[in-house]
Amino acid sequence: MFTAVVHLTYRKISLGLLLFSILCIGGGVVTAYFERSLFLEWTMGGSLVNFRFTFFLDKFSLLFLSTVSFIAANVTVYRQSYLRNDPHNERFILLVLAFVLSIVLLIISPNILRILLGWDGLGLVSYCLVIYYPSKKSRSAGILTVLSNRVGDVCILISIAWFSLLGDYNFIFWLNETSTLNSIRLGILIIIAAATKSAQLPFSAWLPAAIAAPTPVSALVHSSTLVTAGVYLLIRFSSMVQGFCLDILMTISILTMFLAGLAASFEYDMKKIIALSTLSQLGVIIFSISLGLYDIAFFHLVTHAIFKALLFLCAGVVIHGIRGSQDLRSIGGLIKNYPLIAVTLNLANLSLCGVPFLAGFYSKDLIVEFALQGNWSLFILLLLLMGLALTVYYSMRLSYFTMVNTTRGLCINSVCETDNYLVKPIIFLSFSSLFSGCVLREYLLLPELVFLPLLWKTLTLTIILIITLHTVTINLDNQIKVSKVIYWQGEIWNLPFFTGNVFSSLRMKFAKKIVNGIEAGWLEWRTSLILSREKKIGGTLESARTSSFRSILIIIIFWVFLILLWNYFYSLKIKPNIEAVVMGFSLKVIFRTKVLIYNENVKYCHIL
Amino acid sequence: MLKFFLRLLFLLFLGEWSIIIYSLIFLTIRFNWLMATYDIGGISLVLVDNFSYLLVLLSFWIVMLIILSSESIFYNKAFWELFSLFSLCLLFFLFLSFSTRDLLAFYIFFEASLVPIFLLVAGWGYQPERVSASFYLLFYTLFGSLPLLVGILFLFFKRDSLNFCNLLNETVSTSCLLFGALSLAFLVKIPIYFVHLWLPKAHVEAPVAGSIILAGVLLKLGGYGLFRIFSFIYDQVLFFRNYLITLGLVGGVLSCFICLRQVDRKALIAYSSVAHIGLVLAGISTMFQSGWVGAYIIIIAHGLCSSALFALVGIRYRRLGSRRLVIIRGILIVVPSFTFWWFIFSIFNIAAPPSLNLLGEVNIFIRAFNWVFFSALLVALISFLRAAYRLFLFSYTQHGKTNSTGVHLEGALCKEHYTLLSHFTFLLISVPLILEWRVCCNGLTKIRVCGTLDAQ
Repeated sequence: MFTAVVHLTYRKISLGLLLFSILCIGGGVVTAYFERSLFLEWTMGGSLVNFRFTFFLDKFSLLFLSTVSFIAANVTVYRQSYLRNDPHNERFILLVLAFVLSIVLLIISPNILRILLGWDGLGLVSYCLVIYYPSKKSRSAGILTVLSNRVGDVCILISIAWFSLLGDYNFIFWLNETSTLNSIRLGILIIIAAATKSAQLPFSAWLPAAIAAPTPVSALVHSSTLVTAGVYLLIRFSSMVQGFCLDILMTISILTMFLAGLAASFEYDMKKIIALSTLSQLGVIIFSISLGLYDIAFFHLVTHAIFKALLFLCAGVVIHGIRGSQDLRSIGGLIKNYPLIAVTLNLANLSLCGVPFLAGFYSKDLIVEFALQGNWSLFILLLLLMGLALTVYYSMRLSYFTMVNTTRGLCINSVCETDNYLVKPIIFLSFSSLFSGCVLREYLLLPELVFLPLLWKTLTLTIILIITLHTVTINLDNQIKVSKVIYWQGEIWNLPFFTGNVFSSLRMKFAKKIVNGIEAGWLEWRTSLILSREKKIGGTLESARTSSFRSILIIIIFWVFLILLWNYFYSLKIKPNIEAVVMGFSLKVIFRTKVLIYNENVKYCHIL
Repeated sequence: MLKFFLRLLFLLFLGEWSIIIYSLIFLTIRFNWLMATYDIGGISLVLVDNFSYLLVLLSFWIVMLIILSSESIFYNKAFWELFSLFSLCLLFFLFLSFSTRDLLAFYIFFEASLVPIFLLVAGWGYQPERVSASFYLLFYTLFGSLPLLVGILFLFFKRDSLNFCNLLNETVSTSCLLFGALSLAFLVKIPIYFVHLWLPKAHVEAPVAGSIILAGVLLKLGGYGLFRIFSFIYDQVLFFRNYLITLGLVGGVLSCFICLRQVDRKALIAYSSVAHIGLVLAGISTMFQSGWVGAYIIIIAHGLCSSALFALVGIRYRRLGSRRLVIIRGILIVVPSFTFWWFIFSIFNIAAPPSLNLLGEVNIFIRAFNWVFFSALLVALISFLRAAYRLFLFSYTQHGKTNSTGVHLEGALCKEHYTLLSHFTFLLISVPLILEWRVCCNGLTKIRVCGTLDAQ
């Protein structure tokens, strides 16, 4: 009976989220059409410490809200079947609601304090979702995730301090005041914060690790919404992140795109491939921000969110069907056993590649064309095009392994496809990923001119065609052994190793130095010299009594000595430089040397 | 005030567990009601302004909680009467030291509160090392108290009054020596890094009740003393400001690193107190309003959060007899309802969004940033490392395989939930209290805004 109640609430929650999404998209269309935005402020509390709630609704925030709630609604439906046998059933829905709440807080607030609330909440809720399964793997992944995100939180905290100089935390009004804000440092802080959330290069180790979460969580959090929060922040702070900051952004995003694509091409874990492809797509989005194409970046963000959620949900069904294995090599012949899932998976894959007239095409093609139009260095363009090619390669490889290949190893039953809870959201999402591209372009983007030679104009299409043919014709089965490239590249520049192992061993070594040197070393030794000489057990009460007498004596002697010393200095009519005396004494105690203090005022040297 | 005084006096002779708890709850609520209609500040001997108000409330509540959480002493007949006598004595001294307005009386009650906590640690601790730990506790704090007494007497000869209100209004230039003498005892009590050695030892060896009251109120006594002292020797504080902030922040970073190596959970939480206190010291020493507000809020919030964590550790200890991280794991599988409390108090401790700590920490951030940019980076480092060790503690206790002995398979008790809920409730209640009372702003305690002094 209880499960029935839970199911009912699930249905209500998902319906509510869907309605909210429709409402938001309506508002988004209105604001985009009339080019208006809405700003509300609501103050409560006293004059000194108060809470001020601010809401800012424009086309970006409304569209983002509708995307988030749409995916959340679908995931809530999907989850009813996916984690049905889980004993901690209710925890999930509460966490998803907390997630939606904090991302709403992040999206609608033009106030850096409120943004921190949402931002920090996102990190913690995603941590809870990653450690949903109580296993060692998810524990490590959770720690990696939350600590990477914590770096971003701290950066936001520092930028709050920065805004306190202005006396106003509503950053939206101050963005163009470059004179009041030292924009380069603030820009770098914002970039670091965004890079941690969006898993750009120095911090990208957590995203492939975070797939330890249940698949619906990956669909909601780690592919579509949480990771794009960084992009959203960059769009909001667009006028503050300028100049040199854009160069930094371009470098890290293009490298992330390329390296994540390379890593995905040699990976065999199905969810990890999708996570790495998310990483490379985030690279594309942030690259377009670094070109200054905010509208197009946002456009790609929304379409990518939808088809990536679809991809994860499809992968979840397949993983569910073959009882938990995520290895590509154990999947195959999907087209016979799961015709619907095969179609939708392929749809999402093709959309990811940017095949014409699917969702990814409209945004991604535009980004590449604008990049080709500008005068960027050959290296950047080369990396961009290689990243594009790699995207096509790993998507096609995923399609090949799942569909063209014959069934291997584990048996596949097609029971999952008859499950309404699993299939409905997939159908919803696949329709929206079919149409979102062309529909959104109509009302989000202003018409822009692209001047390119024919060869360059058709370059992306040519790349897609060539790589697809290449992937289908080469025998991918030969690749079943783990390639040497993966050793050479070590996921992404050995980042999981560096952020995990190296960081933790470094901090352990440093902490050991502190403990041995100061804690258990100098401080403890000095104290135990006074308190008791028995270091083993601290002594019985008897020895404690004698030692207490000694310690009282030593304390009194210490203070009397200090006061006498002070009087001595005063009797010399020298105003003692207290820092010099303290420093001199500590040097004398530590190094057992004589110390000479020179007083400039009276040209007098004193030997301690 | 006499009402509370007399009631506390009579409580000392009550030997009944539940009645003590009920009357303490009653007193807390009564005090809150009283203060809600009471903005005069000082009547004859006592002074309850916005500084001491929440701290008095906190000490009532925390002593109620320690009696609640040491029910086992009552049932095991482990000298229960003495235990309740000592904890109520402690409350008595704490109440007096927070509400007196005479510096000498404050000193006397400050020192007197050492005796019951010393007896609590030495008497009801778990291991033989408790004797040496209680001596560490006693002598570290006594180390600073002799110069404090000399300083207070010196101040009396200089200014003819030891009333906090009178001391505020006179401007006699103070010497470096007086600053050292007056503040050293409180700096040891808070404690700052380098004189903190007594804290982890006392926490590890103390019973749950002792740990809770140490983290909850006794450390805050030092912070309260610093607030009081610094408000009338502010010229010297301005002179030593740079050293104090550096000491606080660097000590905070060092103790954060030490936390990352701890395998004893009580020691971890104790060292984390040192890190928090580093921020508090930095906030107080900036001598700016927002720094003081931040420090005060952190003091209150940290008192509740870390005492709740100590209570959680104590709950596990009662079942398992161990505090090691290796032995205690997999709580999520055994008692998932405790995982909720672990998570709530862990994230509140690292200043997660809906918490009081965040409010304080943002203020500290702002102040540190406006002092030197580099100090904001140090605060950021502390903030990051604190998340690291706190979540490390959380995930290593909650996840992983359960211990195979199966001793701790006993579920949660209602009483334990009640203890944790009381911590949580106070944490939530204190937010509007702080907002409404506008701490540090309209009380007797003035804060010298030192911006103009800097400019000179």
